[in-house]
Amino acid sequence: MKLRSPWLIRIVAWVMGGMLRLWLRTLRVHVRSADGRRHPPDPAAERFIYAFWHESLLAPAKIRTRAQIMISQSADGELIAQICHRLGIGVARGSSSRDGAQGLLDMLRDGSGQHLALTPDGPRGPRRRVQAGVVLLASCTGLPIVPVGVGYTRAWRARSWDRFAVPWPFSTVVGVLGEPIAVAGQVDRNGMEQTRVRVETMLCEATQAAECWARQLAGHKREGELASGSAVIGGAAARSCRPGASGSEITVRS
Amino acid sequence: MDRKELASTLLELLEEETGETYPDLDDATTLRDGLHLDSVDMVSLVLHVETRLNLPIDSAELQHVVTVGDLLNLLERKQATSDRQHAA
Repeated sequence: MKLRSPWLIRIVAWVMGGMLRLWLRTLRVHVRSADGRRHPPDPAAERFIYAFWHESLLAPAKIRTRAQIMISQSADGELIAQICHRLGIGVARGSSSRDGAQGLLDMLRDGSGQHLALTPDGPRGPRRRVQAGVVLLASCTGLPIVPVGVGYTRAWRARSWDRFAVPWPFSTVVGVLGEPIAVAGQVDRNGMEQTRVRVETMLCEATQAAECWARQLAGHKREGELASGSAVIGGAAARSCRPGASGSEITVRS
Repeated sequence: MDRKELASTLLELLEEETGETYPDLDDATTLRDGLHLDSVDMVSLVLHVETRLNLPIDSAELQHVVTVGDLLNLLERKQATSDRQHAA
């Protein structure tokens, strides 16, 4: 059912915002960054553009920081924008399917003092394919792009174009942040396409690492639930996709 | 700068931005379907127009810009406003 009434959207957003806060408190979060820094840093000192897949749109809500995220101008986007507002996340309206230019311009001009966050395959996909807007944003702002892969030990997956993920309560969400990607100013079309491909590749790698890490954590948890501690089930497969040893790791508890 | 000069400047910026030529460009040509500009192209074009013509363009002003004619109308209005402010 599509929500159209502005008042109904506000009411639903208020209820969902409250439920979301409670649900977020049950999640355990692990984050690992390739550059060894704690992310996100204080935006007054250093700012980034965080790029993560549309299916993991809920993931950043767990980590409170000053950030602005692009949300589509559609009615669905209005509901998400209202919820983001209640979670203290800034919003720039507009997406690549409609009014994308407005949203991009707003981010370029109003994002000062905040990190920027973008789902480069949104709002309609194709799933996990980076569109050029994130590269343009980086080129114009001078902010590096940080690819963020997200994995879940347990999550519901919607039957949507992006297989939207909703982590189970009391489950673990892991984030793997790739090396920041600097984009030259005034990049030409060839350069934009090359950078787009690079961002996509690194985002896929970060996602693969995060999903592997999550499977590993889920496997260890199941192993711990078994009565016997001698056999290691799935251990070999888990060890083969261990996230990189370098970088910093933080754990966020609710 | 009159409308003809604005149109000439816009055409030059369009061709620089996209690497294509537009021999049949007219006011009725739509930006998205006619010129195949996506949101990234639009933003790049707006930024270049702002720099070249020294006319800041607010994102809200783009909401009703669908055709080349709409964009030229916007630029004419902004130029007229800018000229009045300078004259005052």
